[in-house]
Amino acid sequence: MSASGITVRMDEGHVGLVTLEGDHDMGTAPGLQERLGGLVDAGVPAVVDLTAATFIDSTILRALLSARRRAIEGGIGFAVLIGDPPAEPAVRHVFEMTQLVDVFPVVASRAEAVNVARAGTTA
Amino acid sequence: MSTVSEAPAVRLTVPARAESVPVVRQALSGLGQALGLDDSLIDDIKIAVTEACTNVVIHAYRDREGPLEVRAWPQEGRLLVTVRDEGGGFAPRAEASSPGLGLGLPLIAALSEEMRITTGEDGANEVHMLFDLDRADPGGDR
Repeated sequence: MSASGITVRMDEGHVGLVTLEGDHDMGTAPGLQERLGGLVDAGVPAVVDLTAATFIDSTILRALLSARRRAIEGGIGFAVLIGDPPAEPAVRHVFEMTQLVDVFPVVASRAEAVNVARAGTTA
Repeated sequence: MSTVSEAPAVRLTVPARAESVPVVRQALSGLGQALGLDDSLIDDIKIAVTEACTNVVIHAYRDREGPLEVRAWPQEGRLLVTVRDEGGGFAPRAEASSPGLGLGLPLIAALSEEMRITTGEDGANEVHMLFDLDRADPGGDR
């Protein structure tokens, strides 16, 4: 099991890239929610990169949903990246089982994720 | 879903805290590997047991610490996993910010062959999750 971590960095286009590594559950969900909230409140579009995550659960989905709602309210872009390279099957499975794969948007390429976030539309 | 009289292959009692959830997950993952289960089934078991344990940590004990007990019985072609607490029933909090039971239980139901929740007179709650070990590997990219 790889170490769990959440890192945030800005890309050249001023999009906040939030990368999750390792397993994430209720232990790390509050930290994720806090970091995403910080970006959205600062008006920074966010891309959540799950390609290095090895496990997520419904508390993480809930943190993502909460951030997405705040982003929509603020007219800030928000996208979830699960491809390029492909995220772990367990991670993709949680999105598919909850049918949230259609909601976020969930994208499979980094370029598309950044474009979606910059466009400022999350619907 | 019948009750079992023989001893479980795994019996783990941990404090109902966030830190305990990965411990339970790893134990069930280890059992799954020892049983030679395929990765996608182990993933499902890990997700389901994480959701069940998370519900206990968040909802079972209001103002006190309490135990979380996980047991697993491999049966013929099936694995029964139970998650038990002594909290006296899930009373979902009314706060809007509460993580809630919204996504967890439907996920468990979708990932397991059968799910059952029981509440005993002694205030013990148990989530029973039955997994089909002989299921055909789902098609697609998994």
